Amino acid sequence: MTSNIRPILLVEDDLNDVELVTAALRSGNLANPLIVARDGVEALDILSKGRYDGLDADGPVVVLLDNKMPRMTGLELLRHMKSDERLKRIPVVMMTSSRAEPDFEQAYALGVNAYVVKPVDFKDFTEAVKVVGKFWAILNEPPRASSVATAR
Amino acid sequence: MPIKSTRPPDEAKREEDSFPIQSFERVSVGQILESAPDAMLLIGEAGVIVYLNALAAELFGYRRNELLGQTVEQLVPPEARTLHRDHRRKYMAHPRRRMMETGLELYGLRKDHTRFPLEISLSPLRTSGGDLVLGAVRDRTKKQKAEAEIRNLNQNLCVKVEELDAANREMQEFTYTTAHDLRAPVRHIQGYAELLIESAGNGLEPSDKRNLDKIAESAKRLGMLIDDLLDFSRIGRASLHPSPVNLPLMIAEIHGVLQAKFANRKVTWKVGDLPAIIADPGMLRMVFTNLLDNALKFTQGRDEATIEIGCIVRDGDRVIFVRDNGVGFEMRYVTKLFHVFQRLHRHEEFEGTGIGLAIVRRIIERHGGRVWAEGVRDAGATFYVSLPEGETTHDKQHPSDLTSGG
Repeated sequence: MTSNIRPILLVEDDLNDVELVTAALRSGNLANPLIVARDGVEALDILSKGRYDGLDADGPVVVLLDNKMPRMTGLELLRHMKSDERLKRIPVVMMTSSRAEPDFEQAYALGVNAYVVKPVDFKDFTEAVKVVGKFWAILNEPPRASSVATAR
Repeated sequence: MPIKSTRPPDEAKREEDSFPIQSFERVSVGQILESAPDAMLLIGEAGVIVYLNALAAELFGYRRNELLGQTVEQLVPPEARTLHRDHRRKYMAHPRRRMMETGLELYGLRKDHTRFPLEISLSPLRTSGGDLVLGAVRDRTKKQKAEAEIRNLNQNLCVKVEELDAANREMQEFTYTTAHDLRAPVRHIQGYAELLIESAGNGLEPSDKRNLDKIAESAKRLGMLIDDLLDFSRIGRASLHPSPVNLPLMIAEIHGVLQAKFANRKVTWKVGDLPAIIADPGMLRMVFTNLLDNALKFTQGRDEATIEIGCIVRDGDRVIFVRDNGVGFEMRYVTKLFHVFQRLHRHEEFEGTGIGLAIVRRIIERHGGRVWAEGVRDAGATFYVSLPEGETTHDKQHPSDLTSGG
């Protein structure tokens, strides 16, 4: 029930995409649990409560963020996160269908850590998700338990 | 006769002291005025009409002698008479030639009290008998109607252009979002097919496995088409950021990127002298990536492929060319080459979406340039790109763009 491995937060409204990202992460053998929020509002709620469905872990290693979502878009959530002292250091990777340059530019202007256009090819997609997931998971490898406590 | 009749009226009138005209000389002046293509009025001091030609009488609906000796204000609508009198007096104090003016909304009053728009030109006439003003009057009714019609048509045209612009924008937007929204389901089909191949692939009947592969393959191809369409659409909408491009360096970089595609082939690259050009670096990279990728693709059956990039001057224009010794094409199909989804080869022979050259053309045309091709079937193709030197791209250029290299 309790896990020290910090989760990956996937913010995605399309259930097919949720499933495929999950499959991609699984094929990358990532131990991090996956938490899914179905739009920006839900994600912000999860993030600000700091609780993840029974997981007793610190904030997510990375937020994988879709853009086009009901209620609150990915870019809106990104703006919220980057202007919130408690959330601004959480790495955010936009993973979206949008190849539109304004979205891309806006995301970087708002301080996104990476922007990935979901490749149509599933193998490329898996590769992208694996790379993104692994990169941030390794970068955020849980430090010693003591320093986790002091960090909080 | 012709000599006399061409004598200027003022010279002819020098010795006159009164009207009506009597001498031969005077008669010829009358003839001149009579043959004038406009209604002519000669106005004396105090605004008295001292002469008018038949056209003038007809224009205002009078008989000529009904107007002789009357003040010119009789031909002016009542509400404008005071103003007209003032203007006339000022004019007499500082007489000068005044050409037909269309800016003023002047109206004449006919005998039957109807009014009509007119334009008038005035020229002063100094005589020993006093100062006169020669006025030429034209009925503006037709012209005014024509002008109104033109204004009206122009307005309609402006509205139509705006509508067309809006429709075009909407269409582009629609194409873009539609193509965009198609990406997700296509990705999903491909994704689930791949997952299925992965999990059940070995347990499937060969024909089922083949069909499943076909599904994944087709979905992938559809995805590529959509992405290329999105690129094509984006190129039409994105703003250009021209800057100096180091073309030899760009070609070398593209060569490096494409290397993987011909690692096992014998390809000879010949890169000639290439000029420095000003263009949008990202878009230009797409142009040469497409052209070089094509050159590689269509030489893939050759034992030894030769791809040549260089610059020639044709008709005074600098032209960059990409030449290959590949399968070429028949010149009668040349116009098809640069259109979306036009392919000259079957898909099994050469893969591709058929958008590459359309993208090339759109980019080059957006730069104000031209692209064309020459080919011989089974003997290779040459693609030519000519970009304007300077002006066209300079216009859209920000000074800061000059500092960033290609």
